[in-house]
Amino acid sequence: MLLGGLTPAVVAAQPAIPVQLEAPALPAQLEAPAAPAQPAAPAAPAQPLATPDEESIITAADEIVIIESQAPVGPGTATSRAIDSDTITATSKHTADDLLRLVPGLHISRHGGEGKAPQIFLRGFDAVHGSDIEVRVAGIPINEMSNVHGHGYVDVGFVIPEVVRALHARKGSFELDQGSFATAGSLGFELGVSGRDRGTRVQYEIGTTNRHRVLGIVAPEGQREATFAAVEAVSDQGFGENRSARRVSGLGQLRFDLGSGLDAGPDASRFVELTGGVYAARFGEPGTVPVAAVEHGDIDFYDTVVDGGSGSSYRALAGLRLHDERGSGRLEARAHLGWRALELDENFTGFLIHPEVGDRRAQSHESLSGGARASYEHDLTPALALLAGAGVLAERVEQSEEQLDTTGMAWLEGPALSARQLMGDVHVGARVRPHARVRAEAGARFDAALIDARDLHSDAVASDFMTVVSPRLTASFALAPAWTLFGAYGRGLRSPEARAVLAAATPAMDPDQPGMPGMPGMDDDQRRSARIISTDAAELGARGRLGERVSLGLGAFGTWLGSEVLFDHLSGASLARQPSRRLGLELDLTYQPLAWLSVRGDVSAVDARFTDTDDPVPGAPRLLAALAAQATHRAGFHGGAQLRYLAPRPLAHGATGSAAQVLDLNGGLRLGRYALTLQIDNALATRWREGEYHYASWFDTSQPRSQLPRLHYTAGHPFGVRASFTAWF
Amino acid sequence: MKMRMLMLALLAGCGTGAEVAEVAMPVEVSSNGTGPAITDLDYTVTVSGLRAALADVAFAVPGDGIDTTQAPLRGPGNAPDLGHPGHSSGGDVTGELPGEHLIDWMADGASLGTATLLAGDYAGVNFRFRRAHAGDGLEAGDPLLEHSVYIEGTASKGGVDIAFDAVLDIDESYELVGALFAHSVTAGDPAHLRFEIRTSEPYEGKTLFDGIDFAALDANDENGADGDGRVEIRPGTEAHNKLRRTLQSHDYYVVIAQ
Repeated sequence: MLLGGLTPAVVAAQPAIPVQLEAPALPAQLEAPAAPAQPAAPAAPAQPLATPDEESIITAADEIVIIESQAPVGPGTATSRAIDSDTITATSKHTADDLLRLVPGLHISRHGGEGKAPQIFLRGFDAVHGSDIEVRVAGIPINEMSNVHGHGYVDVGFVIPEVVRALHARKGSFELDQGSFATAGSLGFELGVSGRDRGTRVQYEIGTTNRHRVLGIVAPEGQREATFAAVEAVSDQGFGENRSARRVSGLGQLRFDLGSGLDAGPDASRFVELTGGVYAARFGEPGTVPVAAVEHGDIDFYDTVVDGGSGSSYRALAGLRLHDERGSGRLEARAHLGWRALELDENFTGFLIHPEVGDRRAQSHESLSGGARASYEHDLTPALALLAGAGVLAERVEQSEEQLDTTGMAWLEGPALSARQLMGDVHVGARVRPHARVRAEAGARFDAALIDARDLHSDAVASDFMTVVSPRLTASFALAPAWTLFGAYGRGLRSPEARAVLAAATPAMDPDQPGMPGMPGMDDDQRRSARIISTDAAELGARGRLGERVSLGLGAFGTWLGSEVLFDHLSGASLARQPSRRLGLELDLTYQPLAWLSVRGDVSAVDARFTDTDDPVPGAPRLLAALAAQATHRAGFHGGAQLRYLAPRPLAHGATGSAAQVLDLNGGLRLGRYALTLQIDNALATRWREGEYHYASWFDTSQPRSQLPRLHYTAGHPFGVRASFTAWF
Repeated sequence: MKMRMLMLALLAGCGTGAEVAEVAMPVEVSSNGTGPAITDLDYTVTVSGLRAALADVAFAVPGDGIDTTQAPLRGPGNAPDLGHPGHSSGGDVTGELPGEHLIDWMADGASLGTATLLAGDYAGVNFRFRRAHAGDGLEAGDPLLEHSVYIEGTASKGGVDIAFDAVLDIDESYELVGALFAHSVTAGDPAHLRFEIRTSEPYEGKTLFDGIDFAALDANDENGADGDGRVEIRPGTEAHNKLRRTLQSHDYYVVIAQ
């Protein structure tokens, strides 16, 4: 059930009535503790802006409803969403990546196997593998600075979907705690196991792609939803060619209440949470397919033109969270450590660049990261709270690339570097409620980045220090008991990557050296190209209810990005990208005819253009729509249907992508200690192109080599069926 | 037109994507730029022959790329990597005149074949120099054979004429990027393209032969008799390197649509 932030979990035996919230339901934040259900104005007593425990108990005539959530404390925005565990359960999914599709207006496409991070599109941004979307899991930052395959690379493959209690989505960069990479928005995975799913269970899943998945979860009853341990092992041959995947993931979390220990008590205002995870995966890399090859009948739609592509991904992480609320103050402190390793063996262009041996390339990346942050809120008065916070993130990276021949032997060394990256931030602000109908949160954050990089081939070193100040503002006005208006402004930021720092510091080659081709050097502007990128965004919106059963949200947004210089890790060049702007509208509607049944739809439209030329930003979806029905009945039945539509989108060079519509179905029944679930992927059996690109390749060497770009695609999942059996102990 | 098509596709809610229109455009040599050039050392250089062996002529849309040859982080093999799915870097090649070409820039109107360009707005042309070979139809003993560029002409100063010829070798892995080609190609575009080298570039007034002191070369001729009024510029000399460097500057080339 999606109520924009608060997720009632009905535990009483009597028929449950959804808690009547003071409309609108407030959006969730990544790390904030829950806000209580707001009593209907104007009879409610003066409420401090601070919020108490995670759990609140409200009694009505003859039912008890426990609200468990990580609800917000600020006004939020009209388009922020908290996707709860019921929705996640009723959604067809292979990995946690698929949960991203539940965010309205977010599209993912894979050009690798299950295990490689997807390409993400949101609000007109081609975020590549995460460069414009900040992602945290249990508050731990997941974006990988200077990843060899893509700056900000986000891989949530280690997240076991069954232990995702909520997915919080914040579009834009309007709130003080949103940091680097949040130029399009922030996503937060909140981990836990909800009440009715607690206990010890084992699940086995089998699928038509020769998929075998074993899952074990220990989530002791009577303890906090945040406490659990889960293990997952998957072997999947995948559809088509070279999409096999194998992975093992272990994820656990322990919440210890400082007041009452491990027991779940109502007073949960002081607690410590420990999170840990390990992950290992190997996967095939099918690459992309030239459309012409399929149209000419050379290969099948689900085939691959690449031999031997593969990848592996490893992770270990640990996190610590302290939450302490006393009186008028609230402290939230976190620390984390993480290790990552990624290897990719891919070939997207065939023999275009190296006709003799092929363009196969291996990339290797390893990093060690750690960080800490703390935020404190203090209520000066019921209408004014001061906010302050600081954080630091350190990452040590080592990476390399090499060209491989058709047998997989390295024949040419590519770039290799080591780097140390340090990001620090401080934010200050205030949260005000000058009137019962008005809320606002405003402040600014100061971010600093220090990057030291060394070229492992030439031993060239470079170091750069840069800072940026980002103002943030959110405000809401309760227009009527059932409607609230929202407004927001914010400056987002993205740190540069280590390669850009190193490239900017490298002097021009000496044109007078005998035998050396004369090459112009970078000018001063290009040398200063490594800097923190800023975006300016604004949003206006409204959220409310039409009667008892319909909730509606509407948002209009704009994002402006000045000229930026990106280090394109694939061409080895610094790229000066033109200024761009993104203007869009989002609409969502939820209809709940019955307590256990809801239907929701959302439409997102974005016009993303380079302002100098008015050319569209290639790849960014212009129109996304989704229609979903979800049933979660206390008798033990759950089901869902999700229909997604992706309109044709502009690609590079004036080409146009195709439209796609995909229907996934999901249904399950739990009787006592056993449950059976059936998932049908792509029930309409459409052949759809999940990823579409326009670039040059040369795979068929029997044809003349051509540099002309042409349509390529990655296939979306075909019709498939998965069944799972679960037993609780 | 493109927006209308996109809206129709959106409304239709279906479709398999659409490629960009491909346009065939004849390419020929232009000798308009080979007139006399006055160098920084006050020589008036008149070219009587200028031939080059080229390959992989490609036409590019306006670029985001600053300079794809500036890649200090490439490995020792200096291999570029230009392929990637979907992330348009700008400066992309969307037109080509494939194959190898032997260009005689004094033969105005000589055909170089037919290029294929995707409809769009163009800003530049790229190409590689290569070594001429027997397959180019050169006779044995042709000075261009196994070299990249051959130039012959006369440098005049103070009433003294010095004949010269230059044989130049240019690294075949080097790609000249960003010569001027400014044209909006539309479906059915009737224009033909003329490929021109300029002995004087129009931006700063520099010439191909700046920095070459023909009289000094004649007085200390490494390849012939001193003071005979004839200079031979060959690989391995400073004059060769200077001339090669300027030939590798995109300022001296232009493709014009007519």
